Amino acid sequence: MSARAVYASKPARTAVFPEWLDHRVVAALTQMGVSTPYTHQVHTWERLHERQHVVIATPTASGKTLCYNVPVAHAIHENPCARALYLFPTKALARDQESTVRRLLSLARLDAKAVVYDGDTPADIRRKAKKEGSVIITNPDMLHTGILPHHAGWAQFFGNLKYVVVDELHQYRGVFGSHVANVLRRLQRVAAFYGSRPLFVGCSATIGNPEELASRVLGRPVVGVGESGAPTGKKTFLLYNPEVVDPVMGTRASAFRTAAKLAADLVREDISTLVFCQTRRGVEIVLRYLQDKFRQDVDIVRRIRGYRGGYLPTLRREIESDLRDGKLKAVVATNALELGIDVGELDAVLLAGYPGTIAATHQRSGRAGRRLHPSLSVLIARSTPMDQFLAQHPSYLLEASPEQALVQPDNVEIMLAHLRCAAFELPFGTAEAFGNLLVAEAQEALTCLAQEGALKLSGERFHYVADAYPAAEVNLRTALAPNVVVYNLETNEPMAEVAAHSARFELHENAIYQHEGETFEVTRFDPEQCKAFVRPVEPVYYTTAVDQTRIEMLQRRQEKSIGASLLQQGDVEVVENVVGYKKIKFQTHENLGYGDISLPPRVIETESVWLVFDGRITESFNPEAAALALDGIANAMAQVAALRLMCDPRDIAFSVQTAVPEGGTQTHWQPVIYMYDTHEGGVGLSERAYDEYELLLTDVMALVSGCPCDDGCPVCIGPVAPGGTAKAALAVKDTAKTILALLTGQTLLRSEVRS
Amino acid sequence: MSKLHNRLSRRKQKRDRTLEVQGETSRREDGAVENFLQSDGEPPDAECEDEPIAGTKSEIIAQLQKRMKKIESSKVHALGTRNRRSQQASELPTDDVDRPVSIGGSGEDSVVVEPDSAVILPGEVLHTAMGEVWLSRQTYPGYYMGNEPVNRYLETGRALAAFAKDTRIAELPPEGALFIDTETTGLSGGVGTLPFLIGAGYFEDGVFVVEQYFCREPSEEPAQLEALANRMEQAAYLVTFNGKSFDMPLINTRFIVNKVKNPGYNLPHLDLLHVSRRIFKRRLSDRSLQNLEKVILGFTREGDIPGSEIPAAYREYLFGAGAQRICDILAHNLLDIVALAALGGVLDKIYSDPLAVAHAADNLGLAREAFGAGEKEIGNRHLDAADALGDSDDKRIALHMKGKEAMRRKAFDEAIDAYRRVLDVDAGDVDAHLQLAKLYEHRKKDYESALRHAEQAAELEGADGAAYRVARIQKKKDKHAKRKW
Repeated sequence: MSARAVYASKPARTAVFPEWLDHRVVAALTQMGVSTPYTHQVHTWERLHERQHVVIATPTASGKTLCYNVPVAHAIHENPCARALYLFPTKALARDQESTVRRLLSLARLDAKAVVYDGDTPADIRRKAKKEGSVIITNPDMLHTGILPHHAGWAQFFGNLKYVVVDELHQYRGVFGSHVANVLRRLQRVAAFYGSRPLFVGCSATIGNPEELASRVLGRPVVGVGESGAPTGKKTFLLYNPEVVDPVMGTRASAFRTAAKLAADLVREDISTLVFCQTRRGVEIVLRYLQDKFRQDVDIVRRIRGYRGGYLPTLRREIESDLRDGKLKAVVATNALELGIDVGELDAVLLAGYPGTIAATHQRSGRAGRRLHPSLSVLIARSTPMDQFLAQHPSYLLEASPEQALVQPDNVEIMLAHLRCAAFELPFGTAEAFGNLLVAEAQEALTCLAQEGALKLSGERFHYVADAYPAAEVNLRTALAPNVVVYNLETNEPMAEVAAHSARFELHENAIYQHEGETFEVTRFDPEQCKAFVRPVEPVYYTTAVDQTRIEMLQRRQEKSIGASLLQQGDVEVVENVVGYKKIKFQTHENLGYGDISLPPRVIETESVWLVFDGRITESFNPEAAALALDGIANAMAQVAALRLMCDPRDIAFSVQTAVPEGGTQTHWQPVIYMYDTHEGGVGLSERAYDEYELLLTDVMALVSGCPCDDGCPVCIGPVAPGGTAKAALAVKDTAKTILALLTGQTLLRSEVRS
Repeated sequence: MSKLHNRLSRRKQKRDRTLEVQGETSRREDGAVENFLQSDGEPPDAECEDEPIAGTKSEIIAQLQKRMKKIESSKVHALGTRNRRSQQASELPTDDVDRPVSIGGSGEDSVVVEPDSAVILPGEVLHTAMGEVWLSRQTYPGYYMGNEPVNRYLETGRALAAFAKDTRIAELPPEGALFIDTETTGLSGGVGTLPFLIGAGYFEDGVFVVEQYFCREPSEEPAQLEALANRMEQAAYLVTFNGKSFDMPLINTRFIVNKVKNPGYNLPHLDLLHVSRRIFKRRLSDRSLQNLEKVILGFTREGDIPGSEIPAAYREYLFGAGAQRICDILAHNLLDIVALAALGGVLDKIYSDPLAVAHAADNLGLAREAFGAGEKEIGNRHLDAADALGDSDDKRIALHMKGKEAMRRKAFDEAIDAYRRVLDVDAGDVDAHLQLAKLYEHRKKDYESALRHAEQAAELEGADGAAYRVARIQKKKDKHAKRKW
C-alpha cells in the first residue's frame, strides 16, 4: 500500500423550500420523500429564480437532477407553454432521465410531456414531440443535425424555451467540447430569433474549473454551486501498488489479479463491490479471475457480473436494476457504468488502474458510499508510467485539485464549420456577433466563408448559398482528422481505432502493433482511406518509428524565461514525417534492424509551446548525452503533461529538435522541446501548458528523480537505447536530472547525482 | 482579435495558393479543350469560349458539348406539334435570350459580345411592400402543351376533389387554382434551403398566366414571399407536383424564417404526384413530371436543364456567371407549371370520360380513385371500359374489382356474374373460385355450386384452407340434402 486517506463523514445540510416555489411542486417532492431539500439544491433554485445561469459541480448521487427538474416543473406551472431542452452526452443517459422527469411532472399534477428525441425516436412521436413536448431530452449530435437545421418545425418550442440543461458537462472538453460550445452558440441564435432567452443549467462532476468550463461551453456568464449538502459517510481511499515481480524490468504483479483478489476478500465479507477496468478485455479477465475464486459456490458466481459496452442494452438494464436492488455481490465494469447511471450505492470500489484523470478517479470512487455508511475505494496501480508516477507521488492524487477541463470554441476550423451551419439556420447580419466572438471577429470569419463561396453577402446579411446540408458534414465526436480503423485480417473485422496523429507512428507497414495485450503486424496502411490491416504475430521484437518531424514557427504569441531558457507559445506548422522504423528486441533492447517507410508527410497547423534551451545549459554536457537527455525529458513530460492538462495523451505530442542549425557552431547550439496540440488549430492545450510549464517541469523532475531505475526505463525518461558501456558512460538520466534542476532552479543533493 | 485574424489570414493565403495552382492547371486544361474541339473540326462557339468553367477536363468537355447542343436545339422551337396557331404566344423565354445579343448600336457595326454577359433576364423589377424582386410574367392564351390544351383545366370538376381526397376542392372553382413549383439552392432540405425561384400559374379571364418570382440576390426573398403571398390570397387552392413533401414545407419554412405572413398555410392542396402515382401505377414505371409530359401530354422537352444542375447554376450566377443559366432555369420552371395545368386538365378529362381513356390500365387506376371518393357510378363505368377494351389481365382485374364492389353493395347476383366472367377470362383464377364458393355457400345456399368452386380452388391451390372449406361445404350439403328428404 502506498497511501491512505480518510475522509470523515458529513451530515446532510438542508434548507427550506423557497416560498415562491409552486405548492404543487413542493407537494410532489414531499411525496417523493424529499421534505427538506439539500442546501445546494435550494441554492440552485434561488439563482435560477434570479435569472442567473448556473453550474452545479457536486459529487455523484447528490441529487443533481432535482436541481433542474424542480425549476422546470415550476416554470411549466407558471406557464403551460414553457419548454425545456435537456442535453445528455449519450442516448442511454437520456432514456434514463426520461422516466425521472415524467415521474416528477405527473406527481406535480402537470399534464406536460417529457420526450426523448434522438435517432431512435419513431416518426409519429417526433411529430408530437415538436408540437407538444414540454421537455425535450436529446443529445448534442441530434440538436446539431436534427433539430437546429429544421428549427422552423420547432418554432413553438424555441419561442417558449425557458431552460437549457446541459448535464455531464465535464464530458464536453477538448475537440468534442469545442464543437458542443458552438452548437450551443447556434442554439442561442435560433432561440433569440423566436424571441426567447433561455436560462442555462450545467451539471458537472467535480473538476478543477467548473465555472470556467461552463461559461465557455454555455457561452454565458454562470454562477457556480459547489458545496454539496448531501450527506456522506466516512470514506477511506487507498492507493495500492502491487509488489515488484521482475526487478530488472520494473514489472509489478498484475493489477487485474490484484483487483480480483481484493474483490474476492470483500465479497467474502459480504461487502458489495464495484471493480472498474480500463478496457472491455480487462473486464472479462477480472471477471473470470473473480468468478474462479468462487468455483464451489454457484450462487455467488451468479451474483458476480460484468458490465461493459458491447453487452446488449436489456442485459445492461437488468444488471443496473439488480445492482440497485442489492441482488449482486460484485460487478466488474468499464467506464460505461461511470456516466450518471443510477445504480444506487455500493460499499467498495476498486479501480484496476488509474482512470486517466483525477476527476474520473473521484467520480468512480464516488460510486462507493451509502448515505452515512463507511465506504472504501482502492486504486490499484498498474506498471504503466502514469500509474507508477502516482504510486510514487500519491499527494498528486490525494491533495491536488482535480484537473481543469479545457475547450476552445474559437478553434478556427471548428468555429468556421459551425458558422456555416449557423448561417444555414439564419442569415447573419453585418452587426451580428457569434457567441463570445466580437462583431468584428465574427464578420471577418463570415467574410472568409463568403470568399470561399459558402456564403453570399446580400442586403447587409450573409446568406448560406452552398448546396450541401452543412450540419451533415460536421461530426461532433470525431477529431478534425478522422481516426484510422485497424482491421484484423484473421477475423476480417475492425478491431481498434487510432487517432490520425498516432497512426503514422504506430501503424506504418511492418509495425508491431499492440492491442489489449496481443501483438499484431501491420501488413498494409492506407492513410487516405484511414485504414490499416494487421495480422496476429508473436515476434521477439517491437518496432519504433524513426521520426523526422519538422516544426516551423508561424507566429509567436507570448514568451517568458524559465531559468536561463526561453519558453514561447504560439502557432506552428508541423510536418510529421515518419521515414523508417527500428526493430528492437524485447528484454535486451538490442537493435535488430531498420526498415524504410514511404508515407507522405502529414501537415497540420496547430498551437504549440516550446522551450528554447540556453546555449550555456547544453554546452556543459557531452552533446550526445545532452541530446539523449532531452529526448528523455520529452518522454517523461509526455507522461505527466496529459495528467496536468486533463487530456487524452494522444491530444498532445512532443518533439525535440536537437540539430545544430546550418552554419551554427556547437556554442550556439540551442535545442528546442516542442509540445504541440495534435488537433488542427489546437484546443487550447498549449496555452494552458505555457501557464503551468514550471509546475510541469517540477512534475517531470519528481518523476525522474523518484524513479528507482538505473539509467532510464519506460516509466521515466524511456529506455535508453542499448549500446553497452559506451552509452552507459553517458549517464543520460543524470544529465537529464541536472538539466531539469537547472531549469527548475532546484539544487540537486549530492546523493542524487551519482559520481 | 489578433489571434483569430492571423489564423483567418493564413487560411486565406493558403486558399489563394491552392487556387493559383488550380488556376494554372485549369488554364492548361482550357487549352486542351480547345485542341479537342478543334481536332473535332468544330471551332469553339463564341458563347462557350470565354465562359469561365471550372472542373476536370472531362467535365468541361461534357459541359461544352451540352451547351452547344442546347444552342442548336434552341433554334428549333421546343414545342409540341399539334397546335401551331398558339406558337407565338407560347414562345419560351429561352428563344429570345439564347441568341447573341447586339449592343452598342444597331446594324452591321454593332459589336457582338458573348451572350453570357449580355443575356438579359426576361421580366422586370416588381416592387412590393417588402422590397424588390424580379418578376417574369408570361401569358398563354389558347396554349396546347403537346396534344393537350391548358385551358381544359377550367372545365375540371369533381374529379380533382376525388384525387385530392379533399371535399373542399369540389366546391371551389377551377379558376381558383394556383399552380406552384420552386427551384431551390439544395435538395437535402433544412431551413437554409432557399427557393430562389417560385413559379405561380393561374387563370385570369380565361388565359393561363405564369408569374415567376426570382431572387437576383438572397436579400430579395422577403419581397419574393410577399409577392407569392399576394398571389396566394387570390387563390382558392394549390396544385403542385410533389409539393406536399417538398415545395410547400420549404415555402412555409421560408415564411417563418422571414417573418412574413403566410396566407397559403391552410389552403387545400392537390398534389398531382400522388394522384399520378396512383392512377398510372400499372402502366408507367417512371412517374416523373417529365415522363408524364411525354407519355400523357405528348410533349418532349429539349435542351432542358437537368434539375440536379440547378443549385450549382444559381450559385454560379450569384458569384458573377451571367444570366444564361438562369434563363434556362426560368424556362424549366415555366414548363413545369404549364405542365401542371395541362396534366390536371387531362386527369379530369379521363376521369369523367372513361371511354376517352387510351389505356385500360389507366381505367383501373381511375376506378380506384372514384371508389375511394365514393363515386360508384363513375368507378363502374371505368371498370366497364377496362372490361370492354382491355387485355385479359386488365379484364380480370376489372371484373374482380366489380365483384368486390358489388359485394360491398350486397348486389350478390352482380358479384356472382362478375366472378363468373373472371373465370371466362381465366378458368384457373383461384380467388374467383373462392369468392364464388363463398357467395354460393352463404348467400345463395347453393351448396352444389359452392362445392364445385371450392373443389376447383382446392385443386388449383392445394391449400389446407381450401380443403377445409370443401369438407365444410360437403357437410352442409349433406345436411341440407337430408333435411330436404
